[in-house]
Amino acid sequence: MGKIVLSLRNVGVRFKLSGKGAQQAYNQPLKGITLDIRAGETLGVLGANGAGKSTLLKIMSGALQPDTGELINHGVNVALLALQAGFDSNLSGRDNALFGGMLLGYTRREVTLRLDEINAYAELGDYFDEPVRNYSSGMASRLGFAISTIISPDVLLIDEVLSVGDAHFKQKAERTMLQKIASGQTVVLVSHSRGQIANLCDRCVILNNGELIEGENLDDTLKRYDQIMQRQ
Amino acid sequence: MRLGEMSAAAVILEKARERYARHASVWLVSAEWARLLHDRDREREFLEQGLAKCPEQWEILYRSADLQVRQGNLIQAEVFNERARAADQQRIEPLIQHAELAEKCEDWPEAESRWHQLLQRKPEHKQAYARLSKVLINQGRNQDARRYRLAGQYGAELLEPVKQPNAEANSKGSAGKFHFAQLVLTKALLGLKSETSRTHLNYAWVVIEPLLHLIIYYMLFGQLLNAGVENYGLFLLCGLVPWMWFAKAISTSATSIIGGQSLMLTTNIAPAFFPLVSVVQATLKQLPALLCLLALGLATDIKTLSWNLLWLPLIIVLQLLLTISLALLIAAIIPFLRDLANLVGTGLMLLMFLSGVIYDYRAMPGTIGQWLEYNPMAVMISTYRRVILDGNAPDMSGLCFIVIVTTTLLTCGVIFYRLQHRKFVRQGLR
Repeated sequence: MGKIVLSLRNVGVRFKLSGKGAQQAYNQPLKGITLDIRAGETLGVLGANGAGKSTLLKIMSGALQPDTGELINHGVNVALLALQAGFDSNLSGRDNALFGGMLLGYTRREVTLRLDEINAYAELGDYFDEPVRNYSSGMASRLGFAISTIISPDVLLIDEVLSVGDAHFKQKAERTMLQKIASGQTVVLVSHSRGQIANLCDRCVILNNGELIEGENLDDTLKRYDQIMQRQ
Repeated sequence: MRLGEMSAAAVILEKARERYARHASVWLVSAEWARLLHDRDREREFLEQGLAKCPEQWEILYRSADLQVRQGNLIQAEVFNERARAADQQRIEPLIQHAELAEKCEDWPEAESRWHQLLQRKPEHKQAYARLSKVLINQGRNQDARRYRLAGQYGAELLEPVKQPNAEANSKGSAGKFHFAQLVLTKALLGLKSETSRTHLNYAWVVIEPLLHLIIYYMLFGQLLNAGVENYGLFLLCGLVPWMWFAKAISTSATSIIGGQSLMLTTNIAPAFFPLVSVVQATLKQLPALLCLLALGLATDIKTLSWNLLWLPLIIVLQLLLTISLALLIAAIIPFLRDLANLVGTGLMLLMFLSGVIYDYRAMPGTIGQWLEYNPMAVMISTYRRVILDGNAPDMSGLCFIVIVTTTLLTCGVIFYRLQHRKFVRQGLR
């Protein structure tokens, strides 16, 4: 077992509800979550829609401050795999790739050197120099994914992004992600695809109504997940 | 035999053995027949006879090893297996058996190396990856196990290490400030490009827009209302151009942090990034215009040229700092008090009249003129006029005042960002 790189201690998040129909004053996506992430593991997070999966990732990435409890980062850099973050539809794919790459922490020169590589990966061809507003949504997400393949943080957080583009590109994207997972990258993968989690992860937790459920091992957890899903 | 009529098969096999004793397949089928009847003695007999007739035939050796395994005789099985492997190098089955034997002995490291041997020869053999993965699980090496399991599913190239990008995490630490500045500048340049990309005149608007403003004010105040200031064109220019720069920067940066919400959620970027980009972008947009128009104005009025114009860069830098400090503060407050965003436009309009952009504020009646000296933008604009219109050195007390105001605003801003750093994102989600 690797050493612990990220710990969540009793983390809770709540949002004020402003709608008139709200029955209680707060929406509480996470209640007292305690979780350790170890170096090199692939942790799956399962849960129904609205179970707080994405909120959990935002807490882990440090973008969102928990209302209760704390996140302890044991000196690692954490990044959320965010497709098309900061895309400007008036700019060309090349310019967007430049900014996107820099946003991921690379210098201008480093990104410039990799632009052709990004284009080759995204398979945009001449469209790379067209404004992104002329792209189909598949092309835009391909570009987004191609940019994000250059990152290798200590802990990579993935929020259901392994389904971009058409079948061909999807396979390519999956393979790239798997390569990262296989090479020992620490990954937290959020999904509601049970099969994907069962296949990729060493360990899995379930988020249900803001609470964390973890079985003794992966199979046990998956069994519990099936039970929860059937009850609904 | 497949029909289950074992006795009928026995008769046929009997004949076949007599007639085709040299064919290995006869002995193999016979052994198979015995295996199905669970008759191990007969099976061994057939295999031994087969070996005698067809020496070192790999499949018979392989089957013999298999029989030994079933009889629990692992050492004997190893011997047969080794002969089978030696007999035919190309066959994969003996290799699988070889690895399975090690598994039977629960000698996991040995099993691992045997599967590796197999994979070296047949990298595309998918089951072997799965089997190797199980061996690794038995050794408690779950991560390696998963690598091989996935390699079996998605192809062997997964096992190759991902090539590490040459930029490592440490480049973020040491070059952090530089990178941030580079990021701001890049975003501002790209923003400018984006802004102008859909217009026909592109960058020409950078000069045309202030020029139009200038013409309107000049006609309205200079000609129709007669502001009573000599050389009104240049006078207006000195006020309007710095003012437009300032107003543009403030109004675009005001809601910039709210606009950058999704980016902050996904990339952990510092909130100060957004107002800084707004200011830099406004500067890039207005500065060429500012210089162009000043040059134009000066060309029409040669006598005001003096060495004191060298103060101009310092004044421009000072205004930039003032703008940045104010923009940072306003952008920081607005996510917490969104209503203020509606007041920014009105506030700028009021400030414009209080800064003497289109008239000389010292001409205001009573004490109003004196009070206006506490407005840093008024001081700023009158400094421009002093240097450009009158050709005098700037008023040092005015500049000091601006420096003090800037420092105060900047300190407030920095403290605010330090304290509220984490809350910006949350504010945007409300």
